[in-house]
Amino acid sequence: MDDAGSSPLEAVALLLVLVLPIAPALALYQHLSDSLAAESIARHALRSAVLSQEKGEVPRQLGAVIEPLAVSWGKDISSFSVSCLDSCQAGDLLSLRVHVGAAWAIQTAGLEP
Amino acid sequence: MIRSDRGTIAPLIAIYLSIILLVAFGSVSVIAALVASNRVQGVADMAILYAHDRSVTAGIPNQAKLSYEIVLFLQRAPSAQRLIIVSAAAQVNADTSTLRMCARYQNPLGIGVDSAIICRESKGKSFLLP
Repeated sequence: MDDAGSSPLEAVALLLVLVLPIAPALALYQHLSDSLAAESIARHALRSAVLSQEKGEVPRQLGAVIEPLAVSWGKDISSFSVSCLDSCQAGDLLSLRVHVGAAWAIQTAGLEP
Repeated sequence: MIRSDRGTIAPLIAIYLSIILLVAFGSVSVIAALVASNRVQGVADMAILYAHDRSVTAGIPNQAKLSYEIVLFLQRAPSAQRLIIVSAAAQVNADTSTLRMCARYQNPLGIGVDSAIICRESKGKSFLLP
């Protein structure tokens, strides 16, 4: 019987096979974590901004609201944008889109009628 | 006494890989479900607030108007566009509005797979400012 071979080589090959799937899994976890953070930040920031502003006025201090939320999640906001469905008047729909890494989330709330 | 140690480690590697993939897919599914349920809850919360605001008279919401405004919000809101709304049932109990919404979140992982149906409930209540 012949059992020739290299156990270090075998160990390296085995480790490679076992470790390789971890990289894409970690990337996926990161993306999901960013998505979760973006959803939460968008939701709370939009609600807070709508409540803190005068009736019907488009919130202007959104950055000041978003920053502490991002810090509490330990994330950096890539960008965010606010848009209205119509004219940003009372009763309109206001949307906040937040980007965290490659993930993004959008939340919409009604301005006070 | 060992007569022969012939064999292959392929089954061992296959089993290790299966365990790793199973754990990875399982945990990813759980987190993706969390993301999807957060989205559904967020849309339901905003929808009931929007509809309650617009259907209330003297603190009491009107059932028909509440249902109409919820449908309007779900049709128009950009945040609801990534959801496939399966059902949305509105209910009024005194000064409290309730929305029970079931939906799928489209493609939460970015790989063309929709989430399972997720049901969430939101409530809105009238109150007087002091």
